[in-house]
Amino acid sequence: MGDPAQPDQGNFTASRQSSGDPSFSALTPKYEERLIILAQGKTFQNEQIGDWAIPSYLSQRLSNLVVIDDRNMTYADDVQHVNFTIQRVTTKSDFVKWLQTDGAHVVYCGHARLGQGPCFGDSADPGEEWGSHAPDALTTGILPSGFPYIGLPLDEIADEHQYTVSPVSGDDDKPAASDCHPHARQLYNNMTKFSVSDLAPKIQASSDAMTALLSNAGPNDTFWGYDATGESGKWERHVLCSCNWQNTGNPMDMGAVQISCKAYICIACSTFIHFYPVVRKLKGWTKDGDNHYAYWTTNATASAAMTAFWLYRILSYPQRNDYQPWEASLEYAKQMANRDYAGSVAKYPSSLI
Amino acid sequence: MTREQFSERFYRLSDTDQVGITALAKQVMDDAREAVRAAVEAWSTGNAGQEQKAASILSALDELAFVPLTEKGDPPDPQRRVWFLRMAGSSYLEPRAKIIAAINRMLEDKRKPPVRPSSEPPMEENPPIPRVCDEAYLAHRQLLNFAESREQYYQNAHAFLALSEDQKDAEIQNLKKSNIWKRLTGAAEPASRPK
Repeated sequence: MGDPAQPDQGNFTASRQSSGDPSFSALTPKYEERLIILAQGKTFQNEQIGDWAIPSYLSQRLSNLVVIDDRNMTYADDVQHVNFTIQRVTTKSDFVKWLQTDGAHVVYCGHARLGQGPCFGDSADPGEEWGSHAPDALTTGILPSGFPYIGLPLDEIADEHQYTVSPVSGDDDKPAASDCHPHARQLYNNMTKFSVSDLAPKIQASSDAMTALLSNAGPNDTFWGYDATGESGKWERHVLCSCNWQNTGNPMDMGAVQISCKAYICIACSTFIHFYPVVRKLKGWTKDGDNHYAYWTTNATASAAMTAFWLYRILSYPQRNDYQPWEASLEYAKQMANRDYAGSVAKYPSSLI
Repeated sequence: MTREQFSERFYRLSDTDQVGITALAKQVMDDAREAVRAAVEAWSTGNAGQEQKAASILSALDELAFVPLTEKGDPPDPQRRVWFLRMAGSSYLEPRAKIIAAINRMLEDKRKPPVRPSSEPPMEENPPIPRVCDEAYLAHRQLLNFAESREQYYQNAHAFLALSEDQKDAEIQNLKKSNIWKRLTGAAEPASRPK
């Protein structure tokens, strides 16, 4: 007598239909249904990632992949006995919806925005989509997911992307080191107050344009900040900004997201540094048996390549896997994707953990 | 699989045939471990003659024996457990010494690998491209620094890669001057004899 919790392995029904479905067939085994959501962030949509676009990358490697359209595909794996449905989404609202869906396997591929959060949109650079105050903040822009305070490079804010931030006023006490992003924490003792006239010469934009982006700062305002080599590798003036992951006043932030997906794979630069402490520790979304898995990147990462490797390895896990705990297949995908990545495009020694 | 059989399959594979590449790698690994698994079976039979013979073979296989020995779980009786600990420990000392020696040599290599072209969008984070010596320094920390938790290691590695080359060189020099590194690489001064 087998385990009653397990399906009868001799019971065959049509793929993706229950045995009571009118399309029942004795030809295809009854496989477990699993859902993978690929959430492509800003500048990582298919048109922008060349050879790493999905489904084309997978189609070249998996002959059974059925491409319904460029956002929907299915893959029935005869080794795993799993029917995968893969859906590609590109908006913040869809990303949040699937994070909140029981049983989903959600992969984010995009920018970490220097620790501010996953970011969505497809408008031309520059613009508010790069920050947390996009005109349609439910659909585009950053999903605030970072430490309460992050030092952001001034030229990134005012020249490169031109988005509004909430700088920490020099009239306020310096925030506690423990509330700062690890990069700012390392430079905590170097923090000082910058006036508008200290900041303006460091950028191309006009002083008026800059103060508008610094939450309409006045000419006599000061802000906490520091000079340091930024994540970009350049020596830059940083402004300490109030970012946070909860109570941001933004229609959506990580504090408001009730994460209930089964696996969250966060592929962007250094997400283990930026988001792991927030999601796993501050928010307290922890692994719960065979549920709530999460994987993060350890360093600057070519996100589209790592995502393509991850998806391929999950779909080609070489073991029977239906109605089994996910851990073995996720760990396999992690190990193999890390090897694929290290052996191909890795500029930096990043890996999924 | 013979060398010729491997080469024949290897050169037939295209570089995008990941299914074929994975299958070939798996077969190489399975072939390498198959005979060792048989030796582990013989070691576990309880037949004293077979067990002693199998133990001798497993001991001579060094690190190749390690994975098959761990696949069957911990041995039930204390005698086999002690043998396993001694064998596994000694079989790992030599590879560890080789890794340390390689890291030590590569700590001197300041060349950077070429960056391969990719169709990726530009990264937001662009620390200096790591040199061979930088990667060697990180390998030392990952493999040998048991004082760091996993979280601390990745945070420190991230911080290390963001340093300027001069700052990284200073960290590498600090490592090479440390007593623990000198001891590991055999460069320590001979200990003074007790009086």
